[in-house]
Amino acid sequence: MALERVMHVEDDESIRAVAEIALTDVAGFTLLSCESGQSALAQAEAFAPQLILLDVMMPQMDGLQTLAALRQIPALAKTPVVFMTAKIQQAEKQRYLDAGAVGIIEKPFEPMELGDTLSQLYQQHSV
Amino acid sequence: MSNAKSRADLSAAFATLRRRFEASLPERSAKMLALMEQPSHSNLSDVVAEAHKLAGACGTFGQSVLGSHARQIEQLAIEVDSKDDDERLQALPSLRQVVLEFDIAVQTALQQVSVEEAENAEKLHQPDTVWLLLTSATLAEELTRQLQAFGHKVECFNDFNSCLTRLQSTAPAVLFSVIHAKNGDSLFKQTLLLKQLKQLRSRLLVLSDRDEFTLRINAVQHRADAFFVSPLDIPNMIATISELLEHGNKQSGRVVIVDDDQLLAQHYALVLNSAGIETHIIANTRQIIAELLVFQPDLLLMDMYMPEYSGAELAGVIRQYPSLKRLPIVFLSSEINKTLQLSAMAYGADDFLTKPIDDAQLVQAIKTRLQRSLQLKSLIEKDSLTALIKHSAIKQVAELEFERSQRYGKPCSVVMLDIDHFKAVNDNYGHATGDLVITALATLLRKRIRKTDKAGRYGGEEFMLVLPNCPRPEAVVLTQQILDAFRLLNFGDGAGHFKCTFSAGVASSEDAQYSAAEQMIEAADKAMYRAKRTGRNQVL
Repeated sequence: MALERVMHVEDDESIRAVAEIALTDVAGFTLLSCESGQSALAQAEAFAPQLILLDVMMPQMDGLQTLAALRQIPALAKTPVVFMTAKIQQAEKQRYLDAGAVGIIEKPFEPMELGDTLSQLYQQHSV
Repeated sequence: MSNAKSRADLSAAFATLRRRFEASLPERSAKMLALMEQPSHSNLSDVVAEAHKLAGACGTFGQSVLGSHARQIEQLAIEVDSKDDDERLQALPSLRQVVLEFDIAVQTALQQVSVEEAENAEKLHQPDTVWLLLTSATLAEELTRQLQAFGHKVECFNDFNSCLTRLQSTAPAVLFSVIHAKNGDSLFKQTLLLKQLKQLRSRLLVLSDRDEFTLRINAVQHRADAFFVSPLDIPNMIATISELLEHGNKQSGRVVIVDDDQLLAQHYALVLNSAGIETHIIANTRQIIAELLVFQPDLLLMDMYMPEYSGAELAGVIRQYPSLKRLPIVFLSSEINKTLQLSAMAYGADDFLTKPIDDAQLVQAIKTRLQRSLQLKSLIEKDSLTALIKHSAIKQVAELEFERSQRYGKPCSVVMLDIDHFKAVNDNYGHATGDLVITALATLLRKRIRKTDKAGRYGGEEFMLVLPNCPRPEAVVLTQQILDAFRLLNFGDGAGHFKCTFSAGVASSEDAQYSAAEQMIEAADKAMYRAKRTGRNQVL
């Protein structure tokens, strides 16, 4: 099944705006855009995303905490998660992969390619 | 996966976001600087968080240099924050320095952006396009129809955002916008939109749902060229747009310079010419009246102290001539004694510029005064509905041109035009529609004639053209072309469209031995009535 429903969690409004165009107008996904981990938790189950794109550094609940909380929801226990971060240290990267991320997208990202990258990660994961 | 929007739309949308992001940068950078003022542990973590976000976002928006700069702040802030108190105090200045450098880098980057934008502005500007941002679809439709009839291209928008997005790929000559959008947003809060309009040299006209002083002040602060109040006076709005678009192509006024220092006079002339102002230097002060009457300046710039006569004396003489009473006189002098300046003004001068004055100041001072002078002149001489020259003034023009043609032996022509069955238009469709027909013809006349030609509103639905250096056959061809264009225009509101025609009579100075302009005008008038009697919708 091709990737269609994506949830994006990001506190930076300007990045959310770019990702929204990149994922809807360019990639053609159905997108739920959340500005915080809390907001994501409240809406995730009803939206039933096929993939979750999570910013790492957010105030209050960061990406790892959000992921842990999302995993408590049975329907989302196995939903693939991709982290987005400006950090590039290998050790850091490994921490996210260990936490269950299927991929890491580094900021800055190229908006025109974001959708394709997510689709690829999703395909690799489902195989 | 569907691509709902075209690639061009998308890149315009991304460009809008990028600009919005760039516009937010000074504030975000200032926020970090403020946090650094009190580098507590929690403030330092805020700096880390902000720098982290900027590091990611800057690169995404094409500012990779700023991005790596922000990353440097992030890493250093983490390092500083992890130190114990003493070491932290020592390390803080270097962190503050890096944040400060980022702030400067932001300013530099934004300046580069604005230089690029200025270069782009030229490419994007569409000289004949009008954008409408209105809350009423009916009004938008009506205005579109009428503006198109005058050859303007029109685009409609529903909200400020779509307008801003469109501005990334093209810019209008004029944006006509409501102040309050449907969702309650105020135009004056759209800083990015207003800033870009200014950069792209698009003129702004605003429509307000109420007449409020603060709104009018806001409009002035944002350089709006006109302020309309609902319900919109459509003919007036169309005329304003036509005038704005035509004015852009015209020279910005005529100045006569009187100075006994010829080198200085020539220097002033050069400086003003380079700003698009036409100049004429009068060297012989005894000839001043004759030369003023011929050159017909919009402003007189005069030295106050000259060997033969003083500027004040000359001003007094100028004011003795009724046709020169309104000419603004600006004195240029090294006189800084206020009392002497004031006494000079008692002779009839309007203003004082103190020497030495640098070139930019001179241009600025003269331009502002010229603009006022031209505005006043247009209010006094021009018909308020059509912005054409009024009856008395167009007759004077005809007299002047007739005399010139006699003196130089070159033919000049006069055309009288009268809209056919105009009373029926007013009776059937109302006076507002009637006014529209009149404005339409006025605009056509202005658009089709040469720069040296003059068009005037002679009476209610009667117009007069004065065409210097133009023999009869050419005058007939020109008038016929205007008639052909006029009868293509559609008028009327929704219920039913209708078209209009006019009848015209031409008279040329070569037709007969006229002794005065009055006779030539009469001949044109007679020809016009003959055109009416023999079927209308023709030029005779």
